[in-house]
Amino acid sequence: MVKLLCICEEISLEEVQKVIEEEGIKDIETLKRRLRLGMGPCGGRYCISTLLRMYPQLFGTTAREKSDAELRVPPSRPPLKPVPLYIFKER
Amino acid sequence: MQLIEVAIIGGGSTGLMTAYYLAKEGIKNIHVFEEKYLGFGSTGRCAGGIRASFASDVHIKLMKESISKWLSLKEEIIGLDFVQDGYLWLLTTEELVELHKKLSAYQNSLGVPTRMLDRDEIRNLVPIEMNDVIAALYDPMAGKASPLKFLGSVRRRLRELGVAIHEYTPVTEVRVSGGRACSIVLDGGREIRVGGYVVVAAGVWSKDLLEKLGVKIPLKKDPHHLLVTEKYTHFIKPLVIHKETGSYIVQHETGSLLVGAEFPVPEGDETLRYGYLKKAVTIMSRYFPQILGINLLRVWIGYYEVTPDHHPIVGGVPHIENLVTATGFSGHGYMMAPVIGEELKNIILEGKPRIPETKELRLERFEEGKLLKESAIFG
Repeated sequence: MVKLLCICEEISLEEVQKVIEEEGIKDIETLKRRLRLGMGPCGGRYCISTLLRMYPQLFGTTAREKSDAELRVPPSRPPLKPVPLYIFKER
Repeated sequence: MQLIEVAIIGGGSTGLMTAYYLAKEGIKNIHVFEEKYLGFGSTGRCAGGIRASFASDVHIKLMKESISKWLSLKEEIIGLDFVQDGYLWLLTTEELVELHKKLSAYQNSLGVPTRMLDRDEIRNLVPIEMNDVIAALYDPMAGKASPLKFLGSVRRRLRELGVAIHEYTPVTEVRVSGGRACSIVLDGGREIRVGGYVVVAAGVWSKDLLEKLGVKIPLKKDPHHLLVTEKYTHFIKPLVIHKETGSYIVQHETGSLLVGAEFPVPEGDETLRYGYLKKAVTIMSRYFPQILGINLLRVWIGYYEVTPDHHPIVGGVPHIENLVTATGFSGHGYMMAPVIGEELKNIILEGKPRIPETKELRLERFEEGKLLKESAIFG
């Protein structure tokens, strides 16, 4: 069974483990750009949270011992949730 | 103290391409230092457009070479996705049409196959509501390459080639002694000796590093917004620019659309503006109303590092023999990265660039008042 870590971009846990191992990725910012993890409609709300829970398994240390800055959790960019472009159109 | 051969400061497209071409020549002990993650500064924020259809000889000649490099990079690096889907400038006034006819003739004379399209030809190319569009300039040689795929795939390739990539490792200072850059200092004070060359490719942040060495460098930070939407059916191949306002739209292989618009914000106050969203969406939806139903995902700001003549600065700096820089790309750093990376390699290994136009990008032109010009047709 394939375990999806990111539903929006359909990224499996296996893929995440593979790039961490093979490409020496040590932070979430790089992982995000490498796999598009957290770049879909959820904006990372689900996948990045799941990733943080699985941090020890993936990176070998627990997330709890690290500060946000050390974890390199990507900043949330606006808007808070996806909104259709028409609301910005000048009438 | 650790001794390294080449220290590249800046993990953006320019620095990474320099590392790549040096490593391909078999140079060992190359180290890339990036303040945050690769592409943090500008590469990861840009729209990924690539073209040779400029209005100056220097830009055109370098970009023609860069495009042939993009094509070979696609074969050399797995995951890099350059596609020649073209650029399309929508022209909405008679003056713009006249100007672009001349521009196209000029570009053709330098081997860039741009051509004017009438309304029917435009319709055949993109699903557009014509509105006030009179004609368009089309560049079939231009294209796009996803910056994120570029960063991921080049990172992987550089590691295979043995290049050391130091992420989250800011360089605070380059130390010079006897006219040579002899070491770099990392945040926290650690000093690393450099036996060969120091490359400063830190975008707009190059200014701080170089000014500490007494090198005056005329760079200005110019913040630009960009937005990305959710994935959508592929419907628009070329990068389309509304020339009159400078707004543009491009759809990448993922299906996401990026929409840019000129919305000046004062330096130092780089909060995201609602006005930009309004402008970008209002202008582009006039021609592509399909986009109105697509969801906005994110908005951000990135910097153009602008020089007084809107051409980059590439090459050595006065009084330091083994330091080279490449910055000031004025919004074109990503597309130029392959050719500039190779030219920096040539400067480092052979003492000079291979393309004559690269020499014109020397820093000294500003002091000497010999600024580069756009071609005469722009008056």
